[in-house]
Amino acid sequence: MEVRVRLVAPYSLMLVLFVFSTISFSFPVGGSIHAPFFLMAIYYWAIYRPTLIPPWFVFAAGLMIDLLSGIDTVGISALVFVVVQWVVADQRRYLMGQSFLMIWIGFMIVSTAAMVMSWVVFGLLTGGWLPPRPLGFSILLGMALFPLVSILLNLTHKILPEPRNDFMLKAKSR
Amino acid sequence: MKRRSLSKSFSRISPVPLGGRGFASFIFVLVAMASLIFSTVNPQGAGAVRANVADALGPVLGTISKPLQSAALFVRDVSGLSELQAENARLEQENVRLREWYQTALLLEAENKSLRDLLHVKIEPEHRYITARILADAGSNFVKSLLVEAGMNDGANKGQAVVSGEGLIGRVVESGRNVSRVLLVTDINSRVPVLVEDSRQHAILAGQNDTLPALVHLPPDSEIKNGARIITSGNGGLFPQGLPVGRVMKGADGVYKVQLFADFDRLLHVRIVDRSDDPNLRSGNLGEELD
Repeated sequence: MEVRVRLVAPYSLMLVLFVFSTISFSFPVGGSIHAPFFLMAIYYWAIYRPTLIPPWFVFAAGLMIDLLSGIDTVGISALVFVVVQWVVADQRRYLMGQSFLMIWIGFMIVSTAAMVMSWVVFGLLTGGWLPPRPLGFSILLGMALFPLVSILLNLTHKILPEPRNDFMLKAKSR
Repeated sequence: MKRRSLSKSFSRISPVPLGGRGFASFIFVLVAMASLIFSTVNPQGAGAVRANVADALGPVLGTISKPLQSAALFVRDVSGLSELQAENARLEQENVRLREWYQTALLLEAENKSLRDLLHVKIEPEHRYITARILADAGSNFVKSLLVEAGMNDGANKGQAVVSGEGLIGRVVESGRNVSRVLLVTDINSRVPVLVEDSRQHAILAGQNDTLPALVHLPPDSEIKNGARIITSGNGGLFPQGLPVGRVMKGADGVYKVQLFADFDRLLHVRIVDRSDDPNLRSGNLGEELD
């Protein structure tokens, strides 16, 4: 029971980050920009606790973001999220031992790659190559906000039970 | 034992990660690709799913994002306190000027009416407006759209123009029972037939996924004054004629852009132009006819 209560915090934070991902922030330069908030959660948990965000979970979240945003290419965020989670979880042994600066740089690489991937898939499917400037602003905003969000993610991480308990919970429910 | 080692060696040479976490990710990558292909091949099917999801989750999103919207506005207002005084002085001046204009408008309206009566001009009927709260600025970096709290139950249908107090902001592209999606004029897929007011030059307002949409399909030799007013031309019948849009700004690269009248950052409510009483439109569900 206690384990489940502890799980509430990270999932609640993810819900907030999900909502933030669907809301734009407006700036005098660059107009309204969406920051990749949910991508931060995927990146963080793929490194430190991949069992928290199984592939179906990130897929469903991506699909919801696409359906709410009204984008014509439904599944684009789902695809990007699943690929990011897959690749980062694959490299987690290397990333886990790194300093925060390296994790931050890692996020810059991941968010840029994710944006480029979305841009290419969107361009190929719709034939409309978007001006890359607003997308660049989105990456920069994500970069600037990552330290703050990772502090919050880290707080919920501390509440989490040890990974072994996580497996025990799974075994019990089976 | 032999079988296990066989499957192990097969998974080693297979390009696909068989078994384990990678396999689940691989399957979901395929499902996402299938969804992408489905939505590209069948945009109407995807639109129906989107409308249902917006209908179900729109109010939830609106409730969650409402405090955020208020907080953002509050921060803006507080941080701009020094500007407020200057703005107040400017508004007072503008108010005096507008009062004079109001008198002129009344005179012109009376004159216009009497001239119309003399000439028997068929004028465009006045439209009904549906005022709706913005639930969420639900676009992404790839699409500029809003979710508003008015659906088919309120008379909001696909194709209707959407305006703010200042000017045109977009059109309804999907309409659920209680929630509609508005595609903003800044979206890359938005095309609005417009008119440069003083030169009567027709053009198309094309969204660029940026704050400033561009004027396209202009004749090569056309010269438009900086600051000229842009209004909807009403061509094509989708948008009513004469809705204010913005002012022309000529870029350094020679491209004509439009500074919109509507301030998207400060919008809380929008008005949907309901033209169901327009004799030029056929009766029935406007949304279905446009599909």
